[in-house]
Amino acid sequence: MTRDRPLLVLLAAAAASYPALVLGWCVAALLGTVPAARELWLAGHPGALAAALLVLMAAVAVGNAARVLVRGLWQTWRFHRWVARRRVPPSGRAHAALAGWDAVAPVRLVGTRQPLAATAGLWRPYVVISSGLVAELGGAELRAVLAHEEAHARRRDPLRLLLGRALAAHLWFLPLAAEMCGRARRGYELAADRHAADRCGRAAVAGALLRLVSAPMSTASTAAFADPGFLRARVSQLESGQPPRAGALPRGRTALTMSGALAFVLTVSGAWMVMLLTCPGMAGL
Amino acid sequence: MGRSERGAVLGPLESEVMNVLWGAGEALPVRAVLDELNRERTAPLAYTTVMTVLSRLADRGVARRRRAGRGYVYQAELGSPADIAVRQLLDDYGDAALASFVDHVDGDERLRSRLRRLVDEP
Repeated sequence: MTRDRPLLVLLAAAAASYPALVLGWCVAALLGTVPAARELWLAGHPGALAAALLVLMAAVAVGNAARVLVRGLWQTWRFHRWVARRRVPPSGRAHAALAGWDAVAPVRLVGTRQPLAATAGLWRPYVVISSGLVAELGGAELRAVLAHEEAHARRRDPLRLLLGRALAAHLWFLPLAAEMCGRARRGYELAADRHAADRCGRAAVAGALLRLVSAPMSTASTAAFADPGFLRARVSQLESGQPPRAGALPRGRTALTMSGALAFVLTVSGAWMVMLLTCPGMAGL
Repeated sequence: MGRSERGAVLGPLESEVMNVLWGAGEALPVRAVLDELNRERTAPLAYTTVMTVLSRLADRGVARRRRAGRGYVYQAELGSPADIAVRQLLDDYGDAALASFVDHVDGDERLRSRLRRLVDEP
């Protein structure tokens, strides 16, 4: 996870939230089984209400993360099947390009006119390119795309992406988590571009980008990644050779995140209060 | 692409509408699409039905919508059911466990000029 700061931040935040979430489950068990705790709940004690809110937040967090993980695994499996159905043996230009390619990850060619280059697979990633992409690009440009995807495969970026999304879903009450996930994703793309430029030259990477953004059949934006400024950041990096600086955090999301963090702390305090009131022996711990 | 796979990408009426757009090769108003669809139908489709389908196709990025006068005209954005399938794959999987080379198409001419300069540099 070298220099993968956004993902590390997400991991740290999720890890930090877990003791509190476990506390929430413990208090839920107390409320269900210990009469003194139940009395607090029936009396509408603020601590009991806060603890109930913590339990709810924990349930949503775990549910969200599980949903994203299951969906990601399901989508990955379906994509494997899609590739297997459309896989074609390299021929002509594709064969020539792949024959001279010192591949770090397996490369699979699929027969479709749409230009497509992607890395898929969580533990053993592979690169997928389409016959439409081969038709669209020259040899140097195709090698630049392969190098870009190779960087994703080498770092297991699909796995990181899925992990990041699951962590962001887990931390749903902190909207900056989604921002961190987006930054991680942009960081992977920029790192892959740097690798491709180092291996094939920046003119080849620029040429591939130019051809694909200009192609009439080019893949348009995916719903979650329609970031109008990102291609600009990639071009700036190619020009300067340096990764662009990350922009400031959005104020609205930062304010919401602080509110979410405050609410989380308050619910944890409430849960502790219930714990101390119903288990007096814990006060001496 | 087999019939079942095409069915998974486009519904029956969506397929018919896209066939009209692909056949036209130019932007069409809702009325023109409707007339073409109703040409051989015994039970004609309603204007609002076709408008809804076109609107949904535009929302999915399969068709392109632009304003023309007081209404909209629609044009095929993608060239075939296979292309739609790939787009759908990227929409479905690009978000979760897929890293793709170009996710975003930017029509900014200045950006293209900068890319051209990089390509042309010695």
